[in-house]
Amino acid sequence: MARAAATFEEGSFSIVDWTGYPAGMPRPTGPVRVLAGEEYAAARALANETNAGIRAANGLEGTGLHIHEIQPVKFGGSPTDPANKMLLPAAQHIGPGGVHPQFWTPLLRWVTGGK
Amino acid sequence: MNVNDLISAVAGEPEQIVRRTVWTTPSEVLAQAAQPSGLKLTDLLSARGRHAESRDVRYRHILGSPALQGAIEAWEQQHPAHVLPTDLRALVAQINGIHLWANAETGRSYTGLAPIEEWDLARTKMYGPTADRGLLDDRYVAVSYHQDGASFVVLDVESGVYFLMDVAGPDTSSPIAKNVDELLDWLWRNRIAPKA
Repeated sequence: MARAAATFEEGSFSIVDWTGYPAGMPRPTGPVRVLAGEEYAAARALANETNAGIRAANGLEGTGLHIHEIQPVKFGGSPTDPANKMLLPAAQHIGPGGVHPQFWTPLLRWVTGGK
Repeated sequence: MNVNDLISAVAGEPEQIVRRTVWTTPSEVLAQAAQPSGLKLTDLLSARGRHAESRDVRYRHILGSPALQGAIEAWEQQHPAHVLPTDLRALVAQINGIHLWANAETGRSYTGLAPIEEWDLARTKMYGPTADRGLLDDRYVAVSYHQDGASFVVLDVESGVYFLMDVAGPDTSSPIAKNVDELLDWLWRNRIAPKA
């Protein structure tokens, strides 16, 4: 029986080296894709609107917790799906040992050649 | 949109009081979220012991008071290599901080233009003062704030162009403005209206 090959958007890639990714933190599954330009800005705006609502509806002000997209919006993650979101202490999100400076930002620089 | 257009637009959208459902989460669940591995949102939403209440929340546009001349000079003295565009300097001398549909209680929006006292190297705003310089060059200054630290409006002081940059990978692929008028237009278009 023939199987249909999975199709992915142009520019998609899979992450096989998770060096630097914090232990115990959920990882995205499946391929990722770097968003740029208007596509990124539109996705970010949608995430902002969604996350502002989540913060307000769940009384997150003053908790020191950030809403983090498990597959970041910049890497093609859903800006609206609750299953792609988690709460993280700010330090684990963006602090020196956080998931962004330790993993996602270096990955983007590697993918784009630092451009 | 120039500054006067912004002031007119702000005056055209009066304060709104929104009755919204706010969920209170048990402290042990929030404590779990505060662990280094965090907590999935779906786990928060399905946690036992949460209860909802209705609250009236006031939202309005807040334009900051003019920056003191001393505050502008202090910033420039602290950042001698960063020359601010003339129109941006003029903006903060008139309106220091733009918070569209701010929560009236906190005075802040989900994301907005920060007062000059909060401007810093984008790398520092994103990742802290000890961040590796290789993450983002010194030429980029973050002039906005974001409640989740996820993205920033960043001025390239060398070109005068403003970019939207993401903490997951700041780059220059999303320019949003070449001057303050375009920046104000972008901020206005991206205001987040309050919802119940």
